Amino acid sequence: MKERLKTFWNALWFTPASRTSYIATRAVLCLYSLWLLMSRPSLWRFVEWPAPFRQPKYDIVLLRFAIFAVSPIVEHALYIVLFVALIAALFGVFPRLSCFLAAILLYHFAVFEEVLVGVQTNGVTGFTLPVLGLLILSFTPLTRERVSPDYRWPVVLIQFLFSLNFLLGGLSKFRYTGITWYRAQNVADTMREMATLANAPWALSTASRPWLVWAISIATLALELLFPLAVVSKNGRRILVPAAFVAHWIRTRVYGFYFMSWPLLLLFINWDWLLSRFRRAQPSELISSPS
Amino acid sequence: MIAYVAFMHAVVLLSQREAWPFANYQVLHGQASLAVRIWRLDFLGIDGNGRSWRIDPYAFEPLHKLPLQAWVRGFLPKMPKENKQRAMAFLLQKAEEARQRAAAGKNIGYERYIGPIAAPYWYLLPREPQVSSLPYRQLKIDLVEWTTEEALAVPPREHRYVLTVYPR
Repeated sequence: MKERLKTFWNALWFTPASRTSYIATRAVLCLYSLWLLMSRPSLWRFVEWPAPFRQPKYDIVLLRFAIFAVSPIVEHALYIVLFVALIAALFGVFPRLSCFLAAILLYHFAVFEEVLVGVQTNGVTGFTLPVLGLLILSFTPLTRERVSPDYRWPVVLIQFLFSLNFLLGGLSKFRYTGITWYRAQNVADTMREMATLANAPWALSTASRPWLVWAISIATLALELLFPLAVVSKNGRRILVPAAFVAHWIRTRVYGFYFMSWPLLLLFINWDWLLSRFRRAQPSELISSPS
Repeated sequence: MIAYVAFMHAVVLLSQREAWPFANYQVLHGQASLAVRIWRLDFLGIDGNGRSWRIDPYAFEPLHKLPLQAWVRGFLPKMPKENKQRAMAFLLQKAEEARQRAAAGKNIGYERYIGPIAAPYWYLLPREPQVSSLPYRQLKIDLVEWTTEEALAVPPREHRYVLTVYPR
């Protein structure tokens, strides 16, 4: 048993993989970050807000994210550097350095949209994964080989981080409320609450159909607890990744919550297979993504 | 690195402490209750005709209405008068800038540059596409409270209080 686990562990993390999956992962993270930043074009302008908006209570938070009372020109310049670093990382120009710079600057800017009340939204604004993912890539040893374990473990680790969106979301419900969170009554009442709070056009009509609420509740429980299987199982990925895509669309309509990281489901595509199909060549024997 | 990342997320989950960028991704994790009192702030621009217009949740970019209303509720009433006026004057200016853009048919907030393909804020609040053609002269902030039971009753009920108006 111990030997089988060890074999599984090594195969999962360290089976030599192709450079394609590594580059695709970096590209997905960079494009996703650029998409977020283009959607937050004036994020840096928070430094222009007058002093009364900065409460002494959050001085430590500001310090932690290196947010100082500097000239807006400096922050604007850094914001431009962030774009440049992401584009450089996207095209593999000094990849480790550009990934590191992009991660550090993303860490700095990501909390600008909420830092006046501390950091409360805890992962749902979509920036946590690119920060950690780009940092991981910046620590990945450079290799010129076509196939290497160093193209494997960073990809799997970033996929694992993504899966925590689901797993930890589910475990938080257990931690706070217990399994009773998933009772249809609680789920329906949550939908009713959200109908009065957010733009959730299907909330009330869904909450009034107990069978539908039960279906959503069971599907939520299954998706949250089982999604990490998408990291380790090819079959699991085939079911869970499309299910997650659909679930997030439904969540938008039912709860009024937008899952920022949905484009990162692209991390689970087997890019080797896709490119080989695209080139009408024989599929490589390599399996880029873990399975 | 694998162990470190897993360990940090486990600590964040169990301790419930904020350790960004390590997150516990908790959202909607509590027990819902239809009798619990909920609140929001309505930011209203008052134009030259004295008409009130609800201000779009993205008008105060780069801040979304959600963190801004938490700040206003938590800190604005306790501030010295001078700071309060400075903050309100700034918010009025931001609201007016957004009104001018929207009135000219331009996008505001996340849609400013890449339009409909842009990523909205994670918490979807109703948008306010209609804006006054006249400049906002005042900014009014109302505190609105309700329970889900009240909001879903026929007719719906809510309790509205004026939190502040600037300039008076």
